Amino acid sequence: MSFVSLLKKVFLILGLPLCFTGQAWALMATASVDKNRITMDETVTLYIEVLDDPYGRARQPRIQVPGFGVGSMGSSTRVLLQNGRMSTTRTYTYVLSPRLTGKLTIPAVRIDGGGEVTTTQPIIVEVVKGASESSQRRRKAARTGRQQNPYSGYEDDEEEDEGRAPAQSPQSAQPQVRQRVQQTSESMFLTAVADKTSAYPGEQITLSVTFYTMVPLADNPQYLPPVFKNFMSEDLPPVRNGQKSLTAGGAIYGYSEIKTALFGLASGQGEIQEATVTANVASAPDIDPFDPNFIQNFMNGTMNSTEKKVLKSKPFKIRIKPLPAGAPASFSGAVGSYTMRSMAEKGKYKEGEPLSFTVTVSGRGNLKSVTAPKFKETPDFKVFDTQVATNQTRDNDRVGGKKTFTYLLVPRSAGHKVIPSLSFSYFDPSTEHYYTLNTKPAEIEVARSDTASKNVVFNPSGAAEQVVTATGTDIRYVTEKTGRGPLASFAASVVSLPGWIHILPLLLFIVLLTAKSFSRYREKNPQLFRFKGARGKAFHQLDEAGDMIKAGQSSEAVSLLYDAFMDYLSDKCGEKVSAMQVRKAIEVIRSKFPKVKDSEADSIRNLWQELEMHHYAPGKADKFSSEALLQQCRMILKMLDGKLK
Amino acid sequence: MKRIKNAVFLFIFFAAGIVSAVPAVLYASEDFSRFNEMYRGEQYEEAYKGYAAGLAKDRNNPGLWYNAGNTLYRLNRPGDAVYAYAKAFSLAPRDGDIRFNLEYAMRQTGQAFIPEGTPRALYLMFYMFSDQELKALSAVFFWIAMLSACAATVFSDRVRRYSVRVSVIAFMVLMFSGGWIWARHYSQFSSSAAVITETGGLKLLSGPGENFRECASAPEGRIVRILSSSDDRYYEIGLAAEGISGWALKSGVKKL
Repeated sequence: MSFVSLLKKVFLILGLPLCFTGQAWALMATASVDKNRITMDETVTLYIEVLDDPYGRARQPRIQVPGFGVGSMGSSTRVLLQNGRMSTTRTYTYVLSPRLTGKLTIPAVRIDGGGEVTTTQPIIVEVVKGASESSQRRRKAARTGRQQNPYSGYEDDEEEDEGRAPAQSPQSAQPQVRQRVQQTSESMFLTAVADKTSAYPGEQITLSVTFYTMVPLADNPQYLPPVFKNFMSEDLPPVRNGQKSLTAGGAIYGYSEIKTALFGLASGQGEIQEATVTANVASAPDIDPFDPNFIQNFMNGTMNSTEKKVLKSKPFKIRIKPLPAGAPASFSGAVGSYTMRSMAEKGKYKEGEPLSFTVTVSGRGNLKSVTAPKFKETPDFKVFDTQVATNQTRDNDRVGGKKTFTYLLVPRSAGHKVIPSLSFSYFDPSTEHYYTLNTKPAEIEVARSDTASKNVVFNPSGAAEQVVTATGTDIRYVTEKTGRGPLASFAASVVSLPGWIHILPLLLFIVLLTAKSFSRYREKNPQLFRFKGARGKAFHQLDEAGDMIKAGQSSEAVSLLYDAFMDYLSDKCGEKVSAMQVRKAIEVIRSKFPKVKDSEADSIRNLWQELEMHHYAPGKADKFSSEALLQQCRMILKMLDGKLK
Repeated sequence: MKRIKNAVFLFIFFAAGIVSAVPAVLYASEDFSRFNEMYRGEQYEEAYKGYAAGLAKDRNNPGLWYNAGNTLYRLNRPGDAVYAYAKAFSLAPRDGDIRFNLEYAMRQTGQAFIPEGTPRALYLMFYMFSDQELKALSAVFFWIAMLSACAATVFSDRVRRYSVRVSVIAFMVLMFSGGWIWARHYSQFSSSAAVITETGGLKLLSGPGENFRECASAPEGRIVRILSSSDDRYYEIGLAAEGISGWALKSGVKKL
């Protein structure tokens, strides 16, 4: 094989598929409508067909048509094999709702096929005033066949989701919505509408909060329910979804509706504050290939931008009317329409054994305001706690159901007994009257209990047997006792005394104990205490002697001085020195107190002899000599006190 | 013998002096009756204000606490009612009405007045005397013990023997009452107990501050123990039955 023939084969293998591929990428698009002339209450369907896009590179075009509201209806793909060649056609469908009359132009739609761009041709659609034959036919059918639909009085084309309850929006809602569309041409809005402008306390008011949108949403919207004042609320699921062609121009809106049952609490004004929906709307991407962040935005997927929209409904008030006068005694606030039935537990009844008696109230209304019919105490039965079971329903968006009250009764005695009739009253707002329902008295036979203890009858005359039975408990009554008892008063007084007072007996005990101990010690050591007390005792006697001298009793004074001196020496020496000779006494003193000098011993001897002389010869003692002796005694005792230690 | 007579006379004189020092009833019975009439007429708020004014003057009046507890119970303030009944009970534990209403209010708040497994008679004996009475009893026997001991030091022979016996017996009673007071200190209605009065209950935190995690909650009317009151704003409280402790705002707890 030559080199030229080899090149030809390579060209055929690689070049031809490239030629075919290039042919496949030749993107084409066309636009068409189902009608070129419509009325204001009709819609026109726009079809955009993209040809030869087998790989689905072309994105769904985002179209905006002046004078029309646009709603996307999705896309479909058709594949065709013809003469060995495959072709694909993708069709995008839109519903256009006119908002203006006249000749309106659907502009050329730009199709981006992943690098290759093509456009459709513009289309002119004429919109005229007046209703078309088809819409008239539909309106007639609505008037005759769909009595249950509150929207039946208006032009609408409603498509409900399968299996959902039909939306029962209030009669007043449709004009309000239609007016809003006509006035603002909003692509999405939120309404909150109640089915009543006034109601009685406890009467149901149905509130419908509806979110309308004509544009596709990027994700599920967030709903914040309104705040209610002077209302009790009950949800009425499920959320209704669907599409609705509102009156103004037949524009198709998707809607989501949430219903709530409200019950006024007290007469006056009830307020429904604003509801809020937050929705993210897909917006056209602002693509700038020369943006330095283009690649990054592309990779992050932020090219598909969204716009956040916050919608709020208008708050409004509802008048809560006072209930009419003349309520029966058994009325306890129940409003609605009810029936009542009662049933006693079947079986054998025995004295002292409990039996259940059931009363069921059922109907439409707020069962939470229905209270148990009062069971009056009777001599036949003791009534224990009442059990309550509620089964609430929301059929056709009306709150109702049944509430069962089970009374636990204990027959007090055996015999033929009658469970008395119970009364229940309610107010029906539809007739504006009070009604009272009564249960039938139930007659039962109560057998005597096998285990019941015999009641002691204190009245032998045979009067009616009465048994004391505790029927309930409560706190005891207030007391009249204003003060405290004597013990508590005494205790309060003792406790209120200062703490140090209670130390007094302890201190007293300590003092006495110390004194007692000291006394014992003194008794055991008399010599020690005489030794220590010698000086004081001697000087005390000297003072007395001085007083005697002054009184002219010199002889007695000298005798006292003698005794004082002898006692002092005896106490210090521990021996009775007065019975000794002077010489012996001085020897004893010097042996016990070696510090005593000779001169001091002489002084003792001289004083001793002087005192003996005057003591045994009292005639010699005159005032002057007595005083001299006193002074001498003082001096020598002071001198000795320093030595005799 | 004459000295004994003198000592006995002095003791009686002293005791009589203490009794005579008892403050007169601070609360006029006319006011009491007036507020009781209000209670009877279901004017609970007004009656409570009257009792509260009386308590401001005389905190140790069990009747006032009891009646205040009744009005608070009627006003649907179970925490404050339990607190008032507990105060009344701590002052007059032998009063049947007070005990009944305290037990009733505690039962309403999910508590048992007598701990499970405790014989009722034993429990009531334990609370036969109030804290004040026990303290006064201890004080009196302390005086008797000390004065008898003094007599034993002063007198001799026969009198001393009697004095020593009296002193020993009084000292034993003193020890017993001291032990009783100590045991009461750790009981349900001690001075370290408190009642949760916060409406709807109180949350317990793991520390003294809002920044700490909530570790438990205690219902209104629950009697708890104060473990620590060192913090300015928070008590550390303990729930013995559950073995839980935590910190709670002082404003939501009333100490007995």
